[in-house]
Amino acid sequence: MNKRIYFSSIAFLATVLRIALAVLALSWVSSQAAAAGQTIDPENCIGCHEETPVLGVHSGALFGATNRVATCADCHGWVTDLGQHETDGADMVRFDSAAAVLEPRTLTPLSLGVSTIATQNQTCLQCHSGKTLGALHWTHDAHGFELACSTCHQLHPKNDPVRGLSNASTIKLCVDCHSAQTRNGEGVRP
Amino acid sequence: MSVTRRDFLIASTCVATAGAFPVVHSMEVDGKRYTMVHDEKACIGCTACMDACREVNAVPEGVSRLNIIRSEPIGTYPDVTFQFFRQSCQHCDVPPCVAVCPSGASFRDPDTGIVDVDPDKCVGCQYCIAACPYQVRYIDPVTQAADKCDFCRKTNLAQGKLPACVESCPTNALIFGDLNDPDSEVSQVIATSKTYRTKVELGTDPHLYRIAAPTGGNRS
Repeated sequence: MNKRIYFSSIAFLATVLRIALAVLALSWVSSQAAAAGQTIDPENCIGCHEETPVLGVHSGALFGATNRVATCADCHGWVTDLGQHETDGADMVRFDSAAAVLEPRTLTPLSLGVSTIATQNQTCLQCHSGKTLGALHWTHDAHGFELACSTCHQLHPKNDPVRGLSNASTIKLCVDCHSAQTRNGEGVRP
Repeated sequence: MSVTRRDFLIASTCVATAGAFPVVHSMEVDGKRYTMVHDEKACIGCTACMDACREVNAVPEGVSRLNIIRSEPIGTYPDVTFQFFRQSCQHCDVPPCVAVCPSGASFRDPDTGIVDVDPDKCVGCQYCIAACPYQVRYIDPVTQAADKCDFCRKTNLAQGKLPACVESCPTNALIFGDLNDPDSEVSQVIATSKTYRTKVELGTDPHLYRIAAPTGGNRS
């Protein structure tokens, strides 16, 4: 046998072996992931949640921690128990302004299944720093404790309702919320 | 009558002094003494008052009777506070703007204590702008007369309403009323709260009182 053919056969066999090992390793990893409950590929979320695609500016945005396009799981967390997830979805980070509307003082959600302001905002703060947000608009600084980002921002619809608000509409937003607070006898700050 | 050189100098000094400080005592007010309190603790800096003032009093763009000045952020995100300062006419009891006005356009309404401007009498010399220690006067680009906050004397007050800024405030941070009435809310607030006024050392006796907000750490 020609020496060259001999070595290339060895190389070919080695490659085949490596691929086989890799496949084995991958299936082992996925079975481990299955054991940990992380079997739901974020790509599959839309299979059930087809009504909530991300159409806003976060569609196709890079997630800093992974340096790849953000998935549902990057913001909402991984499904750890598919059975429970299908029952109540309580294991997910749920972005809902109800967190802020209902419990500005205790930071505990009164609405079932809604994540706390701190939990919601911590997700956003993985990419958006408080300093940058404060520079964009001072009201970010003013509401750091009291509001969830989702109270004002919506990422799933094509247009975030507060982006591009006129000055008059911004003032009206302040007045509407704070008038209600005044009527309810709540202080400006908790 | 002979006048010694010494008597003449003393007499002329007195005249010169009186001329330089023509108003050294408070003007008498018979009726109401309208006064405002800005509660900086309650203010959220939304500037709804600024918009309402501009609309009600038809204040042209580019000038303003009322500004809310926002401080730099105090603290680090998410524990950040701000301070808000109202910049507008203080309706002084001893108003330098009235004292320097050569045409009588700047005046103090004896019935309300409100310092106001008669645009028909104003010649636009801008002495009042230079004299006002609170820097709240401007020349209206439409009338070419000096103008400033008049507590809505010609608009809302004339219609029996509160000043536009007070009406529009969502947190009741502005309290307005008659300081001569001890039972009025404004009198009660001034009597029972720790308030401050700015530049009182100038002897202007301003009638815009302020309740100071804490300088931070108010969440502790």
